[in-house]
Amino acid sequence: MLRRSGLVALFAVVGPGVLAGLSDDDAPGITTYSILGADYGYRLLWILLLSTVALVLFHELGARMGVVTGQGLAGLIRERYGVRWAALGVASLLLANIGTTCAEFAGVAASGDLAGVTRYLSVPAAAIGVSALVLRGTFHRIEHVFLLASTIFATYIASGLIAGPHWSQVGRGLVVPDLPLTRSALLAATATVGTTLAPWGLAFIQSYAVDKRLTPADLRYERVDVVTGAVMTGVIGLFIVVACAETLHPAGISIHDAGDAARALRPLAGNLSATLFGAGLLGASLLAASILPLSTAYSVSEALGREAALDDSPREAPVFYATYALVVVASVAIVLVPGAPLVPILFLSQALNAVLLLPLVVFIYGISRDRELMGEYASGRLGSAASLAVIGLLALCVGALGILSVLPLLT
Amino acid sequence: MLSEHLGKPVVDAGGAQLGTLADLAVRLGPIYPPVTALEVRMGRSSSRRVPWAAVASLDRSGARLRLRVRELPDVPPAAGELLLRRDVLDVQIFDVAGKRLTRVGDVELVEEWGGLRLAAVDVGAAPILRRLGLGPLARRAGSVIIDWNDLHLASGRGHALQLETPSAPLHSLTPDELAELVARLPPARGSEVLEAVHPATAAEARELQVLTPEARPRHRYGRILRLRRRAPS
Repeated sequence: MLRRSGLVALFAVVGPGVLAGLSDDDAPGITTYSILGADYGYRLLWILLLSTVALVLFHELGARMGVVTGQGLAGLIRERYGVRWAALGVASLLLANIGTTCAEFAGVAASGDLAGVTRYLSVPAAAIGVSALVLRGTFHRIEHVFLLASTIFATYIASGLIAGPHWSQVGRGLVVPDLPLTRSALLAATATVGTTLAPWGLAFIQSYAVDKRLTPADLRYERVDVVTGAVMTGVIGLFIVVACAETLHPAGISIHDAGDAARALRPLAGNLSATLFGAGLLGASLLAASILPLSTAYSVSEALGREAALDDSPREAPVFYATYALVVVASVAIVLVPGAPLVPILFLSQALNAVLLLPLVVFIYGISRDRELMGEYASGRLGSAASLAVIGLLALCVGALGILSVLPLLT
Repeated sequence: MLSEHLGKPVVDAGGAQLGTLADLAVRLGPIYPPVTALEVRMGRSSSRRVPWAAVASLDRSGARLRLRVRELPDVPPAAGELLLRRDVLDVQIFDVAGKRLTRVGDVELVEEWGGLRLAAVDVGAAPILRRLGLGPLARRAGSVIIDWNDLHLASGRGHALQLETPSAPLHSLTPDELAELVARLPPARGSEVLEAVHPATAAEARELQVLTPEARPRHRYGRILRLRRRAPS
């Protein structure tokens, strides 16, 4: 039981972890978990469990690195590894973030489809609306609306429970590492890792901890925050898989559009499931679509040593605004290509995330062990071994996917 | 420029290659810090230190020593030394005149009084592009030079060493410059700075920090997400 002063301190610190965790349950996240459950039932559930453990591990590192050094991820990579490696890190972040932003706008398009609105209207409107709110600094007024909308996905918990999960199968799926050695199964596994431990989440949680001016004394509470956020992500993810495994998987339904995915909410919402799913998808997409371009713009400016903020005019911070515009325009353009398939965009962008995650987690591993930068807060042997295990599994996953993707081309 | 020397061969008086230049050590003091030693990398994990007195020349093609390898004295690293690649290059600094945090793209070295001295840093786009191998683009991009006496190293070792140097720039900061610096540094570093400077200046800077909005840290997400900030303790 925390003492009163402890509770007050906890509430002052809570934020980065829960927010970063919650926004991991974004449109591509929901889609990926749905595909995992619909196509593989409970078989790949253990991947979600491992991803959640990795999420706790690396978000804790990110928050700690931010608190101790007072710097963001891209800047620290440059300080520790120099300009060339920083270019690799920033390029990875930029590509992954364009992919994920694209997926968020695909989420907007998909929820538009459910409501019968064409994507040529919904996507540009969302992009312009969100950018205007963010750039004019009035976003915080409606932030809670988006947050509320994205908590709609907590209804998966109810839907999953009503569907009556086979708990023994759930338990077995969580602990028995079973993986069919096919390209599509590996793709689903990789995308699950890439959406749970998203590259942008790493950059975001670190910057946000810097922003809050937390001190090393707050790290204890920050850990509670990180674990809470990650567990929320994991639990919601778990119930999405459960709901899909109980409704879609037995019927042999694969997810081809948002309507398919929405059926997993039927046990709870019946005919309202599509409406509920669409509203949740829209809220989660808009929340993430507003943070992603901004986070990317900060990372790029930071690596270049330009301390930019929303208070600066475009003339004062050209790199910042150019990056912001690049991310939004490129993402919208891809989604608006006539006939661009939304579910593959939502899903494949997350597998791309996992690939681009590799260099970033290696950098984080190196920085967190560096006593020059981290002092007494550097990772010890146990922490390092755990991060190394995550890096090894991720590399194995990505490598195997690469081999299975190339093999058919050779034979 | 430091980056033009790093990785270049270090050759002894007999023409034998000792290794490649890994870093330059400087000693902080009342004037522009003089280079005191070279760190030479010899193979994957071994390196050796060569005192500046043993260096005949240092240019874009590399370093030439006055002595043969076997004549080189063994010098241990000195206490108050800064390693330019490790502690200055790519590190975050506070530009006192421009009142902003920025990052060192390259280090400018000047030959003076028979030695090599650290004179300034370049925080512009040109050194970044040059180091990425984009020479032609770099020539069109700009350099932004900050004099060594106008900056405070915001990171780890450099920050601590500068605090201990009585003549370091931050000891001559005005209270409002100090308030700005402290607001931008991580909280723990900021209080170290306040402890290191004159108590009267520190007290005034603390007051200014509470009063003036300009001295507040710049938030990345503060304008779009509600940050419940901790009250300054």
